[in-house]
Amino acid sequence: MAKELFPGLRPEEKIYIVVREHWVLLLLKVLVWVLLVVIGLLFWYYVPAQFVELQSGTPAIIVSLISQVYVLFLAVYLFLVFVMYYLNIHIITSERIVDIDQKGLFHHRISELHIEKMEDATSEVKGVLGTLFNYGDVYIQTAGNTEHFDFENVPDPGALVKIILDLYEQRSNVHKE
Amino acid sequence: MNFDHIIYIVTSTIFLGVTGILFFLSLFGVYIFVRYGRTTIITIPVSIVFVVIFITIFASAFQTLNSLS
Repeated sequence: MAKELFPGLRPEEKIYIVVREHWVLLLLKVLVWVLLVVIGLLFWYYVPAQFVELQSGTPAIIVSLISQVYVLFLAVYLFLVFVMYYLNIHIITSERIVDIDQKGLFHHRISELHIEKMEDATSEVKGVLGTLFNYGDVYIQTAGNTEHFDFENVPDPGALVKIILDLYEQRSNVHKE
Repeated sequence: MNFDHIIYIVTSTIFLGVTGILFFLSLFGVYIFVRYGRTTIITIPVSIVFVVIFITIFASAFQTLNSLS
């Protein structure tokens, strides 16, 4: 699956890890969607029942029209939440660290870092949910320039940093030999 | 031009503006999803399901708007 998402993969390059945002954050966004659905249903059942004039004629058609637009909004919202989750991806290969960011519908960014150019990797777990579900951020500092890689809200950031540092050592040993 | 006519024009203008934006976002979202997500076992079924949902709701809303005229 990751090969399709990362078309720049070299023939000798192996994909080790593919990470997305932790599922708890996706669940939170879906819960917001569920809340909006419940609000819509409450309006749909209670507002026309309270106002008799909204039950027939032109007002009824307008209410129906508003509710259909609201349903379309809910469908678009759910779809875009899934698209953002699916397209935000971090890939660690035998040679590179690739960060594919879909920041918005019209903002797509791909950053690559060769593992040997890495200088420092830090993991950070913060917040109640982060501590409970063990997700957080990974910061990778690159040598030579000020830019650094951020993997936000990834599962088990400590283990991820360990894997990245192991890969860095492996690559360094290969270059020394 | 009577009152019902004015209501129809105002409602349809607002409706077309809002649904137009939502419809553009939905179809552009599908395009982005398939373009960057590539054609995989996840992207194709999800895209088809959502396109069918979007078009169904849009068509239904248009029918409702028609009944207003």
